[in-house]
Amino acid sequence: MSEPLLAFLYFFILLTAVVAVLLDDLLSSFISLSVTGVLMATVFALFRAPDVALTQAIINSGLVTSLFLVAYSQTQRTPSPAGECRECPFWLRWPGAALVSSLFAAVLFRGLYVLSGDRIPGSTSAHYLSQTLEETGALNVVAAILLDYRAFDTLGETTVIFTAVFGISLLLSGGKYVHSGHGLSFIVKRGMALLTPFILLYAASILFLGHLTPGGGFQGGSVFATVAILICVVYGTNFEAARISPKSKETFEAGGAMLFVFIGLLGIAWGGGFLANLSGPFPAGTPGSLFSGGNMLLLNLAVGMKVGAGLSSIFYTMIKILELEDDSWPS
Amino acid sequence: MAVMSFLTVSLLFALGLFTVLSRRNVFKTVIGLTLMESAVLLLLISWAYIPGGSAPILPLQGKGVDPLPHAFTLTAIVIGACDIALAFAFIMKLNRFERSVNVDDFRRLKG
Repeated sequence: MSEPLLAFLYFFILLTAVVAVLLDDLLSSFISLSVTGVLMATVFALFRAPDVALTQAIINSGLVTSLFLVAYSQTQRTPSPAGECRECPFWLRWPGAALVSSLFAAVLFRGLYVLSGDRIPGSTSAHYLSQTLEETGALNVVAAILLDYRAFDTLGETTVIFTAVFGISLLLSGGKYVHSGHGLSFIVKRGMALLTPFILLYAASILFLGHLTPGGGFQGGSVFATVAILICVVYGTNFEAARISPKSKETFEAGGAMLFVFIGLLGIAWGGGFLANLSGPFPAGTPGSLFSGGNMLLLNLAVGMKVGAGLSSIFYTMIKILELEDDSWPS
Repeated sequence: MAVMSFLTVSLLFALGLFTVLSRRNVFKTVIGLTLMESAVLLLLISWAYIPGGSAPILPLQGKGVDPLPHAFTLTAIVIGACDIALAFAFIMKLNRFERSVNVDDFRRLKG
């Protein structure tokens, strides 16, 4: 890896972050933050972490920015506050915060600097790198860690996603559906109709080849959610709700969780333990083929269903509020 | 190279902290949280890198980089995105109640 390139990217990461913090215009500052996200994804790819780079590019700089745009357009009629506290004494406005955070940066850097040195992977990581093919049958070590060695953590993570969806639906619930936009122009609609199968194919390839190549349930599910979001934007919310109803999203999400737990219980039934893979009922298959890695294909599908349905219903719940008339949302 | 990464991580985290402490707009607070999260992700990934290592996809060419932090980071990104979405939902609800996005205006729970 070339160091000048890394220094260049780091410089622009810091620059866009500073711009995102200091600009008064919220729209510009969030676009700048999204650029930071893309640059971070590039840095992750340079550090040989393709899975993380893919996730960062899709979720952090794509989906989060779209959610911001929804939240921003709901609050755009509200006057934006002045940057700093009005009544506070001067030193509390920004010098105090600057002092605290620069001291923090100095302490953090000092601590990290002491720890720096030649890195050798710990024995756990060395075991994962050398034994993954034998013990799980998968080629992507990160996917093997997520879905075999530490699959229970992944179940917990999907629970966190469920909790977030639950909280958002609870906060933004109620309100009668009043009107929906008619979407964008004819050309955009036709273009979207032509593009949709290819985006779906891309999502499916990321999802189902997750145990062989970088990707997996989280990334593939997020691209599926992106399709739902694009349909929402291009054709209008009502069309999206009619085609992919919120009820079916719920069913998909619950189905993903059930599938995950069911696969886990199969392992117990076989005498292996919760989420047992090759020691359970699943064959290893030929390394490198689609049907290899035991239960990883099914677990990727379960996670993808959960993440895709969860993220698209978060977006739908938030954009629905935009199109309500002001008084019809109970507070 | 590691020193450069650590410097960037420290500065990015401090920038996020500064934003959370000093800005009054709740959207800016969310930006600060995102920056702090990014700093942690960058630290984990740069920690996992080994000079000359290859991506943790089998079969390895030479020695591979540490795959464990990659798995942690992936988890952290997804959960971070959900947290930010929840924060946006709170902002929308607060804006509905108070007609404001200024932290100083949210005083109803203040004693």
